[in-house]
Amino acid sequence: VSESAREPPDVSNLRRQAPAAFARLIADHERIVLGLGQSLGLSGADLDDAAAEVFADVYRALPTFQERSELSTWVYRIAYRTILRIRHQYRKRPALDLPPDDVDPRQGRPDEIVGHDEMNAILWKVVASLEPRQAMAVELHYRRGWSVDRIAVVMECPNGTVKTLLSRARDRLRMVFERKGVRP
Amino acid sequence: VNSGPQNEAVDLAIRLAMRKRPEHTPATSLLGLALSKVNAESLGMRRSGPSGLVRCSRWSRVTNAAAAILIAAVVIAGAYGLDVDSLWTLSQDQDTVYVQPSEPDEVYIGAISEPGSEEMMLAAVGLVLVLLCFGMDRALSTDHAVCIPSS
Repeated sequence: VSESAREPPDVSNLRRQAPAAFARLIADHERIVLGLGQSLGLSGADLDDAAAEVFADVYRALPTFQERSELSTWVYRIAYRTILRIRHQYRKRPALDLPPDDVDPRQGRPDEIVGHDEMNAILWKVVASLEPRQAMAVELHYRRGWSVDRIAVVMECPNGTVKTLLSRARDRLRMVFERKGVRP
Repeated sequence: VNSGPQNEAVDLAIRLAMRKRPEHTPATSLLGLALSKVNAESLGMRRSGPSGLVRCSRWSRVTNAAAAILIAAVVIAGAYGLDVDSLWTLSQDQDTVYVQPSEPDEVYIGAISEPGSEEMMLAAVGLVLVLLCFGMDRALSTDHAVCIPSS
């Protein structure tokens, strides 16, 4: 969370779509929004375009914001829906195969081997190949450190669903470790 | 979320890897890009799709309306059996109808098994055109309705 996010948002100016207030809203939330797009495999201009689409949707909806939830939660809900919709438009993207088996004789714990850039890059790609809701849950839980409760609010589903999404994602990622010859 | 030491190790590994992922820095201002999308839509432009292309919905509506009128005219002409002999010369031989252009080069166009079914043929052509237009519109459409959550 950026420094400016610690100050209370200027809701009255946001409802009036004041440019300065909207600029601050973007500055406060763009990191998480861009991360959600990254988790679904978007990059470069496509990622910029997706994030801009999210904030355009937020801008249009600002006059209807009624403070029934935190501003950030409301923004991330819109981001979640918009990025899922954009991801749906990329459904023809080829699925990513798991990396081939190449057992490393120096087998070690996953948390020891992930220090390698190559392993990290593989994991990010596998996350991007997950079912979109799994990928978003992984992004918010593991990268941003969000609790299951908070993710459930943004994704508008029960806590149990989030736990299931994370569990399935973890099983898939565990396969990556195993194919790389890593034993926890 | 996790149970057992194996899951804890995998959890830790994923967490470490995910937190090392570099943050993306936009090449252009997201504020300017977002507002340009809002302004483009307020001027009657459709939202851009993944390709970044922006299409004009007003122009699309005009062309769709023109296509619908043309198709309706063809279907009505077929249904009421209006004189289309001025366009084509129809020759009938028992149960086969040959449709040929009136030009002297005698290009063979096709055959119809049922005599006197040119109305049906025109109606079928109209239906195919309607389906084609509908399919093209769906194929070109890149945006879907956005549900804004209540706060």
